[in-house]
Amino acid sequence: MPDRREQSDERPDPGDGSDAERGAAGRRTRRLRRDVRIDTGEFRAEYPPLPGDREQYLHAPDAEEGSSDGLGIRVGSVIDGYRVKRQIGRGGMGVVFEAEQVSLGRTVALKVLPAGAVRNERSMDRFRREATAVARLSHPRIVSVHGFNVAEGIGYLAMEYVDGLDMAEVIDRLRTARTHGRRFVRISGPDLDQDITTWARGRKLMGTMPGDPRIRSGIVIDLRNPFPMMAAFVADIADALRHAHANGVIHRDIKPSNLLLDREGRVKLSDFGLAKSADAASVTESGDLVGSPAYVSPEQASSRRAGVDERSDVYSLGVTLYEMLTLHQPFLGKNVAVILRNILTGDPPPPSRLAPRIPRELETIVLKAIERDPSKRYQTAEEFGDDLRRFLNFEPIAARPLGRTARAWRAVRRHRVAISLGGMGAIVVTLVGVLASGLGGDDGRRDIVRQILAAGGHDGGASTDVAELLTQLSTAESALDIRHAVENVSVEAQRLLVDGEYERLAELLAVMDTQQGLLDWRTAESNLLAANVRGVKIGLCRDLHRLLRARDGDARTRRSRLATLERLLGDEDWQVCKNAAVALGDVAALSSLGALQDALARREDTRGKVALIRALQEQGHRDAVPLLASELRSPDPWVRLAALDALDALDPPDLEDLVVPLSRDPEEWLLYRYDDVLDRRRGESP
Amino acid sequence: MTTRSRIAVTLLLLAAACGGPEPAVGVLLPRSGRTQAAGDQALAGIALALETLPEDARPRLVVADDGGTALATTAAYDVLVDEGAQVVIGPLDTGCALAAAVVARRRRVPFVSPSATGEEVTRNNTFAFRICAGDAEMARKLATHAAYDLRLQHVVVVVDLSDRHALGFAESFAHEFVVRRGRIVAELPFHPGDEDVPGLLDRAAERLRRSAEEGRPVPDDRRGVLVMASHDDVLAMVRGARSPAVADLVLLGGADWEGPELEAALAGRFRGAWRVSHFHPDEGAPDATRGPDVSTFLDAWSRRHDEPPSDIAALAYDATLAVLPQLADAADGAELADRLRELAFLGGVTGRVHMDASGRPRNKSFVLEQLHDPRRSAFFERSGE
Repeated sequence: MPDRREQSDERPDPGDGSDAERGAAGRRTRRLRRDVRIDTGEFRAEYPPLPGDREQYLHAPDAEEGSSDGLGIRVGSVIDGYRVKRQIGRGGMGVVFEAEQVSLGRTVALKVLPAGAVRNERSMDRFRREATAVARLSHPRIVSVHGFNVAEGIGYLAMEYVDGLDMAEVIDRLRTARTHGRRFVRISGPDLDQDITTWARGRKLMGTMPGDPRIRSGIVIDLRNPFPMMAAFVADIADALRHAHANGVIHRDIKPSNLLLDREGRVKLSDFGLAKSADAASVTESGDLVGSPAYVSPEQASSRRAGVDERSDVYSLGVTLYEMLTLHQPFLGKNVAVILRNILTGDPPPPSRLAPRIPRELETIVLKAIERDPSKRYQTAEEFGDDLRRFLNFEPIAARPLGRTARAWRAVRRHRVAISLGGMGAIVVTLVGVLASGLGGDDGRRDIVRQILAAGGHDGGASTDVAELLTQLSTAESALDIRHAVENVSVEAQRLLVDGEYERLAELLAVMDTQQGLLDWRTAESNLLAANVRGVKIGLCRDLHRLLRARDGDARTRRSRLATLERLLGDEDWQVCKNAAVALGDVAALSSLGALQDALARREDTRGKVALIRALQEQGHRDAVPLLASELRSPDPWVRLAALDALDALDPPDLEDLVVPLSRDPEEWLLYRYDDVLDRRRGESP
Repeated sequence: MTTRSRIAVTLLLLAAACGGPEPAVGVLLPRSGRTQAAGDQALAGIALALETLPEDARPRLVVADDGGTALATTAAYDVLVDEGAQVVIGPLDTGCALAAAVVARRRRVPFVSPSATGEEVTRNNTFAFRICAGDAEMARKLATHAAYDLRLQHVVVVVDLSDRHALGFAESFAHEFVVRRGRIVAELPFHPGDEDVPGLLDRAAERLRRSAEEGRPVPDDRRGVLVMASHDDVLAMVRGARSPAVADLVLLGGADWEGPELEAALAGRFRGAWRVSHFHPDEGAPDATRGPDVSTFLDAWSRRHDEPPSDIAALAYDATLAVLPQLADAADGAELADRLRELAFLGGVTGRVHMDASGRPRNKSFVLEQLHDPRRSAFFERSGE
């Protein structure tokens, strides 16, 4: 089943046109990140091309109202007894229509396979498997299947129609509300877009739960304390998963967009398209990875198919809960490979860092659910759900936070390569030094200089092929070979910058960064590469900044340029990070907000963090307020100062509450600034 | 060959070479590119320093062009070592010095930078040295002067994003100024060549005005702008300023703020303009002897050049005179580096150089100079005091 987000109305958020546009653009970015499937065999065949320009994207749902590409299905046509009413979604596995089952007069969601997929045995197998997997499940929290057939050359799946939002849309709404400084957000009910500010005023909303009598009015989330509500939703889905697991079905694609919320506030699990039955062979025999990258478990990410069991679903549900609570994904990266690497080797930022008000017990539960080692997670969805209910009932939870020893051991394990190499470091460096000095007078060095002379002139003819340069770099054995390769690559990078071939340059730099990681043990060469390309990266930031500011290029090009800048935010060099941050802050693309926040959460150096905070300040989106507020507790006073300045500029309604921790700041000069902010806020004159 | 990235290796035999294994001194400077003028000044300073030596004591000099880029720096450094350089004077720029540091460590040939002020240049590298003060020390002096002497309360920072020294200095200044209860109202970053460079001072004035309206009232004469940019960009900004509000501003800058053009452009347009540097053409450095050393330098300079010597020329002059005596009988680069770490050079025109173990001078002196002041008032300061 495709994204539920696309099943529902694609209504823009209330507000003026530009807000709606920004919201849609933001959703698009998140979709690009979230919905990349890593099923390499079918990826190209199943995914429709992304919209080529921004305008087309913003109005895509209306444009597709009449017909569906390649399927020949029009509103009003009847397919095997189902009358099509409107298209409500489109995803990797097909197009979804709202339809009426003529014989029973009931509304269904009709998921139709893409044209051509009917002849593709693999796609049909997957489609059939979804139908059979769900058909054996009967649970109030699982979207039910009414029928499956291939008729008139069209393969379809008729499912229960859920009218409402999916959890990805809910998260989007919460983010947007936070950006605009709104406290209450309606996520279910008869009119989802009704302004509930007046309605919410004076009501006690904290205790509103699914099943609450007030549910008829719809669920309204208080952004100050969305935690119990989110925990309750996930506890319900854990129940659904328990049922699926008991019937031998592993979902394998749990993510927010597969959690559907109807207008009465009931949450349901959908999209069993990637489900695996215990008694059926998986269609991914080739070892392809399945799932959405940001939500796959480490065992899925490492492609250890044998290790994928119900605990993988627990993990993905944990990641989903993490995002619902913090509005951030725990593992991000510039591309799928990096996301997977982060899942396999990284630790997520503690949820309390992103959502400072989160209850400690809930944070403990989330972190246990997303433990990298399956044996340390909840062993069943039932255990997970039970612990969430204990939290909701104010009972002691079963999960325990990590102790100091465990945290220290984890750090050692994470850096085990560096630590083990540490002992050998002196030997290795000495060897490289000896090797390099031995080669110091080699004629090859003069060759390098000659090549640089020729390449640097830009009048000397063709550049070396990038692929060849990278091969040189990755296969170099001796110090001289490495040096040679490093300089060749650097020269090529400069040439691409001067020639304005930004996309190729971005690609080259990305690969070079990876290669630099491989060169880490040869410290000198790694530093050399960094020193040589620093100027190129800064030049790239400068050029992209100018082009973006001039609104040069189409939407795809702009997105690609923004993505390049977003990637450079993570550069090890603070100057490169600062250049990228300044560009993104100035361009103020809402779609880059997440990248800036993620970079800030991950970065550790003062200069980089301050640069990112200033960029968030320049962007001026209040969505950044929670993260900035958490930086007020940074051990680094300069980071605290930058965060205070940024919050002062963003001026959130609860600024006074946020800066209270600074009243006990040990730095006297920071207290002075703190008083300055509060005095002005209170309208006092010093 | 074009200028960019080329390695124009020029062998300048400035002194008569005696036969035998004489030590060679490598010089790594921008002889092309945006910073070529600074390279010219530095080379003039080095040449002048060699002239002060007896003819038979002058080493062979090998000069290589780093083009002001890291890539060219690394290749050029190798060429210098291959040509027999036992020590390298240069590079000037922090970014180039960082690249040079990589090769210096591997080839075990030390370098002494006259003007690379970045704090990271000498970090964890026993073959990297500098004789100028670091960004943090200079910025602290300027911030102290701004907060306590000029009594500035609000400052906008205008900074060149592509210049590592400018960024490092601006950041250090901001820290020191805030600790002294000043406020950095905004940072206006730019790249050389940006269209809006000439309007940056107007924008700074506007940000200062807005900030004063929104927050605590700040008198007009308590507002300043730190401009960390190259001479050409500063000149473009000063000339491009149109807003009447700039007349109330005090401008603050670094060693790049020199030359008659800039002084003429600044005259009478701002409340004040101050720069921090290592050398004052009329006075030398505060702790220089003001005796034969400074006068020898100034006399020799005036015989060859119409303009007064710049900061860079003076620093390069000092670097040469400080390094050459250490070459005698040094077995290899490592021994030379050991000697440089214990260097105590008292006759510098930019002040004394007492090198510390990490390759930086301790308590290097500064000059705080008010530009376009008919009295050319200058404060002399020493770092770390």
